[in-house]
Amino acid sequence: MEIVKDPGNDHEAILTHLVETYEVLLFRTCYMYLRDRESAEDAVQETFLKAYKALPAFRGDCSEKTWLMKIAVNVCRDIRRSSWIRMVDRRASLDLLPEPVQEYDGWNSLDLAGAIMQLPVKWKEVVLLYFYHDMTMREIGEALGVSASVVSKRIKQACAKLENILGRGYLHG
Amino acid sequence: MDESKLKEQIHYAIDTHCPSCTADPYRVQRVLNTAHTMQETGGTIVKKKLSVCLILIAIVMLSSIVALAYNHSYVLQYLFGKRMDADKAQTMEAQVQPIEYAYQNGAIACTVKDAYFDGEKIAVGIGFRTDRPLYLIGKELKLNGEWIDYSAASASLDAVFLGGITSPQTFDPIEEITGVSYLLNRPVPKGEEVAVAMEIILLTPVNGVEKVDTEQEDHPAMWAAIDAVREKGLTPISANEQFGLSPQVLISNAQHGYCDPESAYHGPYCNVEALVEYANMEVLDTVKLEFSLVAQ
Repeated sequence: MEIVKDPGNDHEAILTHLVETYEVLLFRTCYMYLRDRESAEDAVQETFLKAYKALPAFRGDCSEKTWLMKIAVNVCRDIRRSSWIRMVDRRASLDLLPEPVQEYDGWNSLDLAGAIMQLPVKWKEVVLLYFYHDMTMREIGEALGVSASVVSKRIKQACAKLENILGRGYLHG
Repeated sequence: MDESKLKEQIHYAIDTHCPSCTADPYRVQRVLNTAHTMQETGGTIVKKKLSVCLILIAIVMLSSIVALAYNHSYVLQYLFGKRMDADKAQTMEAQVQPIEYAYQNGAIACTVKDAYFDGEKIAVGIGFRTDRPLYLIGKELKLNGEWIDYSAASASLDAVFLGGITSPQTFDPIEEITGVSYLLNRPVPKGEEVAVAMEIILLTPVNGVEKVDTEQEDHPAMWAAIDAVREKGLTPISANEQFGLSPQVLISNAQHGYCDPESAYHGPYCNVEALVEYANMEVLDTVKLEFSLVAQ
């Protein structure tokens, strides 16, 4: 049983578990989503705060990861919607992004990360949740409020868009 | 497609992409502190009471700061906001170019003083003064008479929902510096001059606004509350906007959607006419800006 679903655990212990397990993953996800480190930091803090406050209402209908990512996606959407006018220029452009640590199998991870960041939000969401968080299409559908078939369609569209940005064959080169 | 290979690539790309996205050892404590403070105060952070004298001093100081700020570049204030980084702003000053534009409609005034253009990024700082709730929608930018294709290299314009200035009917005149910025798909060579044209649509609620609690996102009660406000002929706006930002006009679950240039979705989230009708607003005017910039 997940720690969140065990009513015997106190909320502080659950929060500690969530932070220890998901904080960095969440931070990177929010950064990719919002393209701004400070906004991502705000999003992570807000996500955990919302999760902590919502713990009494969590019924265990989905996994703790799905539940947390649903909160995170909503927080990111909210931040992006609220502040996108300011974010356009604060976003990390490709020339400002840090150099990759090393080349990997002949392809450049910087290009791939930059391409993901450029995706329209609805495609970026599924790429992050499916490929990075290894969530199933059903779980992603629950988190985003759409059907699994819509998720599947968006994943295909996102991959096609990535190939379009990076060049055909790039993802498998 | 080799899905496992692609997952591996994406994991590596994201994991190595933000080296400073690290764990905060005080995260749990910070969350608990905030939660407990909010609990004690019924959901809001307590602000310490100040003496009259301190308030007066603060007002004088703020007035000076505001006066200084308004003498400074609008576009740099817009780009950096409260997090103004003096060093970064200084490095960008070379690309800031003056524009003289003033718009007046009754008590609503709009002033454009300058813009930033480095050939790839273009931003315009706009000063607004208004005596009523005002919602701004920025339309696409035209360069040399052509719409910029924003669906390719940059996702920065995948929505026209610019946010803006809204408030309940008891509304004091305010001044605010806002702006628009774009990342061009095709950079303009340095030294080249371009003719820029842009439109900003000004919306205002017909019968006033009503705040809706958005603390419990995606909760049926929240969507029902938004619909109830609409049915009363008012404009639903968020009651608890975070990060010190202006409240947003809210759109109910049934109408929610994303602006996708490839789909036929024309809901209020990305269509001015639909938003006006949906949120009980009216179009006050359209501000048309035309000016020239040189890629610096």
